[in-house]
Amino acid sequence: MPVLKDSSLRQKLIRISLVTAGFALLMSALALSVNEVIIFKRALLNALITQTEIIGNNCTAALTFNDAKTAGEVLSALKANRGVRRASIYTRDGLLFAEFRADGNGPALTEGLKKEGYRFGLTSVEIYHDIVFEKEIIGQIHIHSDLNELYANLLRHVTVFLIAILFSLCAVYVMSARLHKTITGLISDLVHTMSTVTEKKDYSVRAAVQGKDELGVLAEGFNEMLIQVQSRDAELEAYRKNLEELVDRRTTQLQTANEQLRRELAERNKIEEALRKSEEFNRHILETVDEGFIVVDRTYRILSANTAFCRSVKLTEEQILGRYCYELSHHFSKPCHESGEDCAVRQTFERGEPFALSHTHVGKDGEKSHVEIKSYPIRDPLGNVVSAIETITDVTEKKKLEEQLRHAQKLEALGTLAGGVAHDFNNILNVIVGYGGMMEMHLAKDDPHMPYLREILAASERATHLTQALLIFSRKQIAELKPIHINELVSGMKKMVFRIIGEDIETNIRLSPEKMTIMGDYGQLEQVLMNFATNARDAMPDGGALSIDTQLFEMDTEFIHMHGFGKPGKYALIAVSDTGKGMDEHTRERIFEPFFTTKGLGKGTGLGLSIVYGIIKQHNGFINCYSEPERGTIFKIYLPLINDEVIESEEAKIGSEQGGTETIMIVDDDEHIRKLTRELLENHGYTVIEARDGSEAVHIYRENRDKIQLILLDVIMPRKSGKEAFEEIRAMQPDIKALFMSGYTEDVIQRKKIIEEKLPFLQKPVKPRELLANIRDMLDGKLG
Amino acid sequence: MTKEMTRLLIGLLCGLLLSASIAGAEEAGPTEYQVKAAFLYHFVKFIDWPDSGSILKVCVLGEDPFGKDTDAIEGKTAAGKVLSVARIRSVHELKKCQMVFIPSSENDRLESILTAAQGLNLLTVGDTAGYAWRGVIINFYKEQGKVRFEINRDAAGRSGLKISAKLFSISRIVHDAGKRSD
Repeated sequence: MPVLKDSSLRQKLIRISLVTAGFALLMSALALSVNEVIIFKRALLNALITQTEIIGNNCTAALTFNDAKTAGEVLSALKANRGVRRASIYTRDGLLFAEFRADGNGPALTEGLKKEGYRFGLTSVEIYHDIVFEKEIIGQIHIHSDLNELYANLLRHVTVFLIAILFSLCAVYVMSARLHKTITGLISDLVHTMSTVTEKKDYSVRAAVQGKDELGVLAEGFNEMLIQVQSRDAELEAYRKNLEELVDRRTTQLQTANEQLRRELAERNKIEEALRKSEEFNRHILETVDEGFIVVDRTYRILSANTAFCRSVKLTEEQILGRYCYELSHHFSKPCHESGEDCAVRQTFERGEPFALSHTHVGKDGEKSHVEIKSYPIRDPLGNVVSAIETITDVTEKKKLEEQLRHAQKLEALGTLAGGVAHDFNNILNVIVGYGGMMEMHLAKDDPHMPYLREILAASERATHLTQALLIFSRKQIAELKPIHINELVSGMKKMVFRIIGEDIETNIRLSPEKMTIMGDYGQLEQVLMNFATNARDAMPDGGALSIDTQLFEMDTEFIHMHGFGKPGKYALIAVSDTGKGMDEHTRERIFEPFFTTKGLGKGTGLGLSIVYGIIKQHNGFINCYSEPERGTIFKIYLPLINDEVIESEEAKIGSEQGGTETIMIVDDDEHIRKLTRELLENHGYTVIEARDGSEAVHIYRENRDKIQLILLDVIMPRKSGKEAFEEIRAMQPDIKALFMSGYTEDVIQRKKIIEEKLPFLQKPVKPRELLANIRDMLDGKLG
Repeated sequence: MTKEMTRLLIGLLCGLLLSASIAGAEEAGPTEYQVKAAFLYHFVKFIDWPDSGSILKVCVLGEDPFGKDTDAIEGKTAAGKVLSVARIRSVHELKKCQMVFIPSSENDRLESILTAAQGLNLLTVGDTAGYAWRGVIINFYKEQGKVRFEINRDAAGRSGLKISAKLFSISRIVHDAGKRSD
């Protein structure tokens, strides 16, 4: 019984008693009640049947003489029986004859004849009795009685029984509560003894033994058990003591041994840790370095390899170890020296010394790479070289960059050379053009020498162009940088390009959707595009397609690393591609050199692309060329973008050729130039004072400050530059007018300053008309 | 259609009409004297007759109001006796009767009839008002269209017949003239 599981023994006993007694009493009450009901029911039935018979008998005459009224009166005698709800008499034909209802009148019931007998329902009993007279059934009487009396009787009985049961259970409770002690008292005593033993571990206590019943036997057994436990305990205690002593002894011995062992172990750990650290350090170094590092034995079998080597051959360390180095690096089936290649390791094995060489390795995918190999001997204790360390450094990238540097340096050197020649040549041309121009002014228009002079001047003009081209290439040409929209530049050139390339060549111009502004010299950039167009036309004599694309390009470090040029930032990219003859690698390397041309004699100057190169360099841009023979060529120009979006529209300066009477100081270290300029100016009415350099100019100005109204200055001169001299003079006279001239300058800062400050500047060689016009404009306050 | 067939059909139709009229007569219920004849038969059962053979003679004295209505009870058995109906004229014939019906035609000589019946253990039955208190044991009367009867307890006591209390219970009790009625 789960309810009783955790209750005390006393409660269990009481509950069991109560449940048992309660159950017995309930069953008895039930049996009695049932019996009572049966008896009462029978009595009720008998009484009803008797009544029915009497009434039936009394109704015979009424039935016989069809006197329903009298029959009704007879039936109403049933009023005395309160149980009867309804009584009715039927004739033998089944017709209702007379009726009685305890609850007054209601609708007549015509049940008809039934089988004689009775029917017990839950709430009522019905009796059907045939009325027999003179051995003949003359009718039937029905009586319906309720069972209220039966139930009232039953209720009374049940109430009485329940009260009796309640009293009995109370009595049982009281009795069992008193009597339980005879059992639980003994058990409690036993439990008490047991808990004393458990809690105090005192095995000397004994349970009281009372009587010879089961509990008595239990107590005796318990006591007997205690005796045995007590003696066992004593025995165990003795053993324990003995064992403890033994364990103590052994423990001491073990501790000593353990201590010794621990010391040794610590020592060993320390050594191992140091070793491991050193090994790890070495390993770490080997793994970190970019150089491939392997150890090979005398049969060229790889004994060890670092990560860099694994990466270079694209294999894992497991795949590498045990294989031959020539197999991995060259895909040879036998050592390199047997295939005719030199081998650093072989040299080390033979000579016992470190050895270095460089050669070409072939990767898994056939890709060639240039490597530098160094090998070092590893000796056994006897001094024999047993294996070799081999380091492999990939210098492919380095070689490529070296090559590019060399190329750039070559172009730079060529530029310097050309620039130098052009500068000197320019000064000579200045004299020729100058005097030629003066002569032209002096000669009458119909002078017979005029045509010769015109030829001389025309040739000089061509020579001037040549020197200017060279100066552009060497970037010694002064460019006037203004904000330029690349798309406007390209679309503005469209017509010109069409005219250059002709109708056989299809032209596609695709402009970027973005507006891209750069700082540039419009004329120079036009020249670049025209040069490309010309080259494209010459490369496609049988027709083809020329495409000019502009796009926004973001240059990143990866691009720079891959191409070997550039600076991170945003660029305008102009790509000019043709489907022409293309060129081989060798040609491509030289295209930017001045005077290098593939065109036939007299067809080109060989300066076109070198000018392009110079212009792009001057614009801080980059140029790159991809070409394949018979496929075509693409030039890509990268020009750095600026944020300024405003293009200043500068009005075209139209000078006027006029003379004057003002005093002008000429400062130039070149005597010929001074002489030429003096003659030109004096011819036009000016008074001229000469100075040979900057410091002389300052000195002279100080003495003639009231007279001098304009200074003509060369930018670069010995002792003091034009700019410096100008600064000193301006300190004396802030509104002094100065016009700078230069053919060439190495002082980029100086040149830049003049451009930045928007100081008036003329490029040598200066045409006389131009010079005169500029001077006049300045004096009149139109310029500067 | 032949003449024979027409005649047959007419015959059949007449037969049907006839049977319908007979059925209608039956449904009308018993006539007054049929009920009274049946009562005469039932009275037999409620009376303790002295042992005088197995035949119980029911006599109708004087003018017979029953006619064929007594045929229904002729030969029927009640209280172990077989009923036999007879018509008599003379009071002398009363000796052979156990029950006698005295119609209203005998009003004038009723007292002499009753005197003749004395000591004969004879049940006298009539259906004329006043017969009962003049000394007839059972007298029919009508109440709300129904045939009922009254019993002169004094006359019953004088007759020597034991009449069942059940019969008394459904009848009107009268006494001889001059005595208090119940």
